[in-house]
Amino acid sequence: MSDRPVLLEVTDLSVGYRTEDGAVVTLVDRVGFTLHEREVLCLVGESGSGKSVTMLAVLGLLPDGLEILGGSVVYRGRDLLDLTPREWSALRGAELAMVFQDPMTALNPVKRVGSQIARAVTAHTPGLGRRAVASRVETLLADVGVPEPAERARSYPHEWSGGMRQRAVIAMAMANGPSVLVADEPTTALDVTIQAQIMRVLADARERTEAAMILITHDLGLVAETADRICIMYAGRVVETGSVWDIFEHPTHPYTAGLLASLLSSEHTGDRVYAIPGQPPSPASRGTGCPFASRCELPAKSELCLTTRPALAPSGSSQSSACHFADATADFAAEVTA
Amino acid sequence: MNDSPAETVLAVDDLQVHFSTRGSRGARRTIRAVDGVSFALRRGETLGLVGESGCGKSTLVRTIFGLNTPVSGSIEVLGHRLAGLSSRRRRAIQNRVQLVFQDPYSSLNPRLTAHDIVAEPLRIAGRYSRGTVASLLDDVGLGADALAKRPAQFSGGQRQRIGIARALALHPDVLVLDEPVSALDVSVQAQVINLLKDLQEKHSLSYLFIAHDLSVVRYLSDRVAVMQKGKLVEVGSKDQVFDAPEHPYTRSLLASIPVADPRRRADAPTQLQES
Repeated sequence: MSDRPVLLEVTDLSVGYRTEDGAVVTLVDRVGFTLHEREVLCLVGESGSGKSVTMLAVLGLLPDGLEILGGSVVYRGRDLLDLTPREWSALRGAELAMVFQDPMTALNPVKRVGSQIARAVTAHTPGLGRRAVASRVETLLADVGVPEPAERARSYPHEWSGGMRQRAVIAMAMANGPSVLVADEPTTALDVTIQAQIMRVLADARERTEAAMILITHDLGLVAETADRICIMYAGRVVETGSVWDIFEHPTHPYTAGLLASLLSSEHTGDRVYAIPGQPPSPASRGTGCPFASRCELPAKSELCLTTRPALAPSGSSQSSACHFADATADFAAEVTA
Repeated sequence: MNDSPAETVLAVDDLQVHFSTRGSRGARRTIRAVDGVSFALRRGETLGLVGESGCGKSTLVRTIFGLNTPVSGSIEVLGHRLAGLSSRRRRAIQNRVQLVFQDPYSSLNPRLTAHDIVAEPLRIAGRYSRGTVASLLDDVGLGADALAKRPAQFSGGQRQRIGIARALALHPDVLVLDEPVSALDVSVQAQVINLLKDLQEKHSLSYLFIAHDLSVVRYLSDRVAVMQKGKLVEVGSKDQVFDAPEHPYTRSLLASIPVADPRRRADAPTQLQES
């Protein structure tokens, strides 16, 4: 995968907000990752880990109050952090497209589904005739498996089931053949059988358009089934990154090891499953050392973990880990998984 | 499972719960939300109930707690048929079955302290003492410093512990667990699952465990019931249901769960597939 050309490169990206007394609270702390052409990169983390804020910053969609504190986001040689709103609207929806978690809020409830998709088409291809737009909408809906697309295009979102709505959102995202598709928990709101269908639709759509995808999820099952590479985020930082094969086979960060060990699988026959103790720290109480230190059960952990933040450093053929004792993680992982 | 296999704590027999709605042209339509459901839950056992949204799981739960009136069929708690009881007797019996909600963010009164939340059922039953509340919270792994805090001061996992402590206050025989971990962070889910296992053993509790996450169901359940369109289409031991599913719907459900093991992928490097 990593021999393909780089599409998007995020370096040391930090995002935060200012409190009333002027203090800065950092939500995303020097996050970096690389997306190659046609690759599926999964950003994995629990709520509050900063994965969604990272992607909103990358897409220039940060809500009011949040600001970029530093870093760069380079897409095909252009730093996106310097774009004007006008440049953004030419790029977003055309080359970078998004699919969000809840299809009901992503669609306008008072507009017909077809006309919303048509809007996505005409926004980036002005001057297209009415007939051409209608037939493009029909093709897009057919591509994502909507039956009788011409007819269904005239209905309203509330007349569609959750799974069908998410198909419409995907059709809209694919309308202009983007190079990068960002999907933020695209199946979390759906039933498990529908979830599998939607993941299939996304895979087909990527195959047709050769788009790369950044999939944001907390579901390690989805990650194992779709990712080429993974970024594990914890407390606003990337704590481990690498190929899906290497990370599931031999995690080199104790948080990753703990997450994988706490997964319930058919192989779990013991009475108890490993549970990472404690809770993730709040953004204001992340301290100067390793943000995972208070929950870490690595026998090797030391004073160093509380005082010095570990940098992301190579820990395997495809992997990097932000742990002072990445070398000692293998034994720990074996122990907690047993 | 428990050593004594016999005692049934909750029995549902041929339950029918219907709703009538008016269709787009004003014609009455009857929806059979629960359509002939029967099962028996034994002491100390966990019965997993799985099914997708709209299958009737929630209606079934609401009916067990007396919030819907069944058209026919019966619900028995500890051998007492609920429909035949006086309302006073019914309340006493109904207390043997308690509910743990899915969302620990919305199911706890934000203005009450943890102490007051857990004390409420005890006060109503006239069995309140501060010591009882403290020991209930201790049971779910919350220390004495939790007593005076309000829900907002707790994390999701801790809130779910408070919900469990409250459900345990009147020493029930059965806990109905409605998606108890699905709103929690992944790294916290395992903590609550371990807690549920410990409490079951300590208090010989029976669980009716409702979830859509089949790996959690498999881990916690002794038997599994699969619900589709108001009916239980398959009921069996968890190994039977997961390893040799008979109903096509069960098979499609199982085939849809993402497997957290990249080695099972078609495009996995060959040396990994072998290991």
